[in-house]
Amino acid sequence: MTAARTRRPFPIRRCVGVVIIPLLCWAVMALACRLAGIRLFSGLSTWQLWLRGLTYVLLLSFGVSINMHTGRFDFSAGAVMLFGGVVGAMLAYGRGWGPWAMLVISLVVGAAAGCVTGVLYVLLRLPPMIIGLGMTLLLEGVVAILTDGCKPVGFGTNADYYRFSVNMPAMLVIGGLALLVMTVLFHYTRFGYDYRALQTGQRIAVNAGVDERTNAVICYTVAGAMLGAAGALSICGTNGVTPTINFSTIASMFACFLPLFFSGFIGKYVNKQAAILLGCVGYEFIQIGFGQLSFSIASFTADVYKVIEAVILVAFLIYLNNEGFIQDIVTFRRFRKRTT
Amino acid sequence: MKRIFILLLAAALCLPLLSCSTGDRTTVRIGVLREDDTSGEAKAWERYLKTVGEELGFSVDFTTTDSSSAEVSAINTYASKGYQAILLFSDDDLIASVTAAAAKKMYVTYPTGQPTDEQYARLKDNPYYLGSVAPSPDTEFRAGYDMAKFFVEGKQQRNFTLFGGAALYGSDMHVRRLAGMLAYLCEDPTTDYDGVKDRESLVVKLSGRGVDPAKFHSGTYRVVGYMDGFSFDDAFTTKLTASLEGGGTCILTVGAGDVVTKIAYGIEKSNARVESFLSGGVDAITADYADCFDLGYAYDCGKYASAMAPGLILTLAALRDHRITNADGSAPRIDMSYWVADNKQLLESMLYYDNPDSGYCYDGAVIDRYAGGTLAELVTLCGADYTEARSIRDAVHEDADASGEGSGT
Repeated sequence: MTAARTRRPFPIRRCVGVVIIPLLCWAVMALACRLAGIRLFSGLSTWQLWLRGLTYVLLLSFGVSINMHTGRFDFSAGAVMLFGGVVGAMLAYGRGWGPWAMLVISLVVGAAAGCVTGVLYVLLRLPPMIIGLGMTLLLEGVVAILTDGCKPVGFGTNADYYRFSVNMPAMLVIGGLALLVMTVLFHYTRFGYDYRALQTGQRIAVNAGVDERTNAVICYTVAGAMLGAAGALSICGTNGVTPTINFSTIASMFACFLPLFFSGFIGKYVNKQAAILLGCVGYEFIQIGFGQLSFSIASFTADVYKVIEAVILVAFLIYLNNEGFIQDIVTFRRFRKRTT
Repeated sequence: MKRIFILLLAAALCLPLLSCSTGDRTTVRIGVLREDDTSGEAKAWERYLKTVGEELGFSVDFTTTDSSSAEVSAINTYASKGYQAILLFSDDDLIASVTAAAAKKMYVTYPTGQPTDEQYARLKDNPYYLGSVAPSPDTEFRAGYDMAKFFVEGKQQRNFTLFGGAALYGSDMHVRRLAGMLAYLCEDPTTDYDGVKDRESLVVKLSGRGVDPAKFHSGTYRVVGYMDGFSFDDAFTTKLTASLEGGGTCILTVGAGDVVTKIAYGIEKSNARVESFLSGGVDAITADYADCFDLGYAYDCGKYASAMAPGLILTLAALRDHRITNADGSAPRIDMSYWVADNKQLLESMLYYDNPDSGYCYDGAVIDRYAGGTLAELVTLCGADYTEARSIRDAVHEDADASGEGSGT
């Protein structure tokens, strides 16, 4: 790594780098909505939905990023979400414990499921993808048994669970706690230090005495906890869920890809967890904007905005992979070098 | 000693084989290919086929497929295991599946859909293709029309949010239902959609495009919002919230009405700008929809568990060498009616009279009776609404009681 790469950017450049993506997402969507004759945020309900979506996708992104950033792509993320959410919903609603209890139960159940995945990964020494796919089928099967053959899980006429998902203080607390836990755990503890050591050079880290197995199990457990909590919010937000099987849960994790790639850029200027938060902020502006535009413009259908989202993702990946080259072109650096 | 040990070992090895031959008492084996194995409708049909199979002495096995090649592969597997017939719920490539089954001399029935005219022309004279049973385009149109009429005349609704499901992808079933809704609204003299009012023009306007609320002109009604697709994400909730806040508090759906209703219920209970809402849909007669009546769902139209009976009747009739065909010997395309519930009690009554515990409406006795009957009788059975279906069941059972016969083969 060169000295130039490790040098911290100037404060102004750093500030711009931190806010540019969320700001750009907001500006583009606000402009698009204005051109369509509507407002991006049309009232309190839009802010509620934005914050709910932000909290959900933040938990999901945290959960997926933990293993993804160490080269373990865990396909069971969606199944853990479903499993945690369904168990939480069944217990909390069945016993009248309420949405906070549901969140805690889902978190614990998700952590337990993640821990099992981690232990299997360590014991069986199979590629993470295989373990993830196996756990996906296993967890989906368990959910099918719990729900008596994938019967819908809901809250009847009890609207407390949906209200919880649009309760702004509650969402702020959950999002804030998740950010705090992730920041402390991955940036201010021995575990976090080991995690980053393993991330950048596994062989050297292991030779230096880092216990990679324990680290992997803890990673899966923490990821499971985040995903379980995300599952609870997801079920509250749709006021119930109809479980599905045959790998159908895998797709639910893809919602966090765009924010995670956004965070890859923002992460150059701020710590990883804050970068993920800012990536999610930008992503949710896009989501709310799509909803508003879709309401106003009939041709802007669900399919169209899925395609646009995919195009943004691909364009951003192209940019990240050719960042130096693109900067050279934009700043005429090569031309200037040649002329001098 | 060694000889005794070898004999015991041989006997132990032979036991599973013996159990295979003695345990398999059923003579007829039917394979089911399906794409959806999780919806309430799919599970109700699975339970129905298994229950009736036990009653009539045939076995059914299910394979979930997601492509034409998977369908053909599953058909070949069923053939290699000696299955005699296929119920084809999945239809990635109907022609390829029927051709594959016919090559193995297996009967194929298409019990949940209708082939296109072109497909039908190619299939109707295939001796192994037994026909199709599903709501016709007319029935789909009527389902949407009747639902809109119910909410306008019965519930005095004027402001609508429409959910078009897969109309955007050109799903004919969803397009027809949507066209039915708009056609009813367009009967009002001040109302038109993009300058047209009649059924066929509406179908053309909606196919692959869905509804544009801006093109709906009326002095009587309002279409406040329209949504489609099946990803119920933040964008969907944002849109539904905007539509409900805009006054579109009567939600008409062409499918997935349970999911839409649950989300709408949450919005209503957490949003001061939405006082109440009503919803209705064309989908299925299931327990989940009965629960939705407590949330605001007021009209359910759909297929029911016993809707599998006509497909079974066609299959069993052919297996008993009494193939039911059109007058010219070709495979029939039979229209199937929906059941309609406009209150929870009625829906619960439908569920009570059509479930494995208290007995299916079209149980083994009904299937047995109609498998030996004519095409005209089968068409009558398929066209029956809930009341007529119960009458059919009662009549069959009265006849059986009178002649002292039980059901079963």
